[in-house]
Amino acid sequence: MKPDVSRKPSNGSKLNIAPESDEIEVSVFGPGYGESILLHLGYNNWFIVDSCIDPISNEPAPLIYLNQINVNPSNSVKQVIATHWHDDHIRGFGKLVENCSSAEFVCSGALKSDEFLSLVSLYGNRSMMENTGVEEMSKSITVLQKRKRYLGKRFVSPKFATAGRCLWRNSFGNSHSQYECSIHSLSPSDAAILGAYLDIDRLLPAVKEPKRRIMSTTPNHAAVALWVSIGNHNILLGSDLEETNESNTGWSVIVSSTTRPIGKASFFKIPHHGSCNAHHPQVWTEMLEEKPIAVLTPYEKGNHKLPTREDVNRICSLTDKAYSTATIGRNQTVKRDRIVEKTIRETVRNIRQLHISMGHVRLRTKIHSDWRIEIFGDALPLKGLYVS
Amino acid sequence: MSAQHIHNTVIQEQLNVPESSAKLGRDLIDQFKEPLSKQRILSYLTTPVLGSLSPSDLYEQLKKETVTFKEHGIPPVVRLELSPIVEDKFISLQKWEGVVIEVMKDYFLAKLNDLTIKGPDEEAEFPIEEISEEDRKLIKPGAVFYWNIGYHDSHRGQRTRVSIMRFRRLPAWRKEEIEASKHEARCIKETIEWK
Repeated sequence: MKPDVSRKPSNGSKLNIAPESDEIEVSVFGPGYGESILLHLGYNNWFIVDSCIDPISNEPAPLIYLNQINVNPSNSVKQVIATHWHDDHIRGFGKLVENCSSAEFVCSGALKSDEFLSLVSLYGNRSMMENTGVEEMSKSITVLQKRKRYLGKRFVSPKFATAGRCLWRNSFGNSHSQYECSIHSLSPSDAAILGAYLDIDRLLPAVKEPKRRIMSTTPNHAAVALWVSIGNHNILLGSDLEETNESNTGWSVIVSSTTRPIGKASFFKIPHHGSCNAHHPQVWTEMLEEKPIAVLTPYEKGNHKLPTREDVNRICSLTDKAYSTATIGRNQTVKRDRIVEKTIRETVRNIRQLHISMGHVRLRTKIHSDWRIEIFGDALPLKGLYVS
Repeated sequence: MSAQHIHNTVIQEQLNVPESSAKLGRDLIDQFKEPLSKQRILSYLTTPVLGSLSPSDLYEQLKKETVTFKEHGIPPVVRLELSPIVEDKFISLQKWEGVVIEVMKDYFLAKLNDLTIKGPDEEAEFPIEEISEEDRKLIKPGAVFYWNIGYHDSHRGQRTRVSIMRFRRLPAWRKEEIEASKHEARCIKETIEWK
């Protein structure tokens, strides 16, 4: 059966309706820089994966949405998961941790090192500009420290996601039918963790080095890919995990793993903004149902845009149910005084406003039913990304 | 003991001077103990040769040579005409703080934060030739700079529209800061069980 796809107006006349208690929801937010995923696994059990900022309100997009559907994040969110610490996946994460006061904090096992904590300590309060990944982690850690002082022995310590680890498990339902729910992390692998430790160590400054702002490293070895099982539905969230063409890191090690959960996913959050360096053909053949629902969040930096046209063509050949959370290539500039704009044109080669496009793709279903897809804001079918 | 002897003794004792100097003082006193003649006094007051002027002529001569001080004892007031000091000034119309993201061969990409009016983030490509020679070595990913657009008014009144970019000279990490961060890392690890 073809999934029901409906486009709602951007003010979302049906956006503000919360899912039913036995309804599963996956919401993907993407403002053109960054992404965040909200999961409802039934009976008011919510999970937030990564964070991004709504460009209009300047608040974390998942918190705004939960507020719109009258869900209290302080007692409904069970876990907040930071799949890695790059700027585009973690903006506003500190605020999420603070507001989701009963949620367990989960991050990549590659961040467990003393060196990463040193990095956070050195750079966490240094920024002169808006938030960076390190600052968001610093804010999150500060919130956790306060929570520990308040809760004492009741404090739940952070959890670290590594390949083959079960992060959460529960069963729901009533006396007539019960279903199992679980969240497993598929990465990072041991080799990826070691690689990330070395990368982080290289970022630590030496004495007498200038206090430059820290820039996120690539590739995304330490990113956490997640497998979510709810009854007969499986969801694969690819984060920013890239394929390294090495057997012990990237998607290769996941595909060949004998300990990953069995089954195929009907929903795929495409990794790393649909780029070809995160594509692994066996993921589509062995871990996904035929023509799954696929969503990606686009990315722009300078002239570098993801997904490229080739990426769009590749993904659309694998599924006809692919969506993007935002548009791409809109060169909008901030309006200023005529003299200032004239001087800007004389000085720079190109200038554009960031984070102008915000979209939301929402999927809902019940056990043994098909997904119902809704798109809000600037979200659109992927095949239309380069048409306009 | 005569008054003169007492006087000379006092001088010597007060001044605590040797005998020969005391004798000099006595000789000076002796020399001038007689009243000065009128002619000698007049010679101090006027230039013409004494005895050549009649009393009335002498009076006129004295009057001509006399300088009167109207405000005796008060130092003269000098008034100088000064023009006000005008300095160059800069009127800022727009200011950003920027961070270098990527450096290419002849330009760099930077993220901009509007410092004039809080607004959305922006991204811009700057030709490296726009940066001063001394700042070019600072163009590296993570480097911070300020970009200011406005008017420069010189002290002569000339106005020029300018775009100024200046890279921040960042302080250097100190050994104590790096050691402190390691200590803080250990504390965090223990406190919230980050392990």
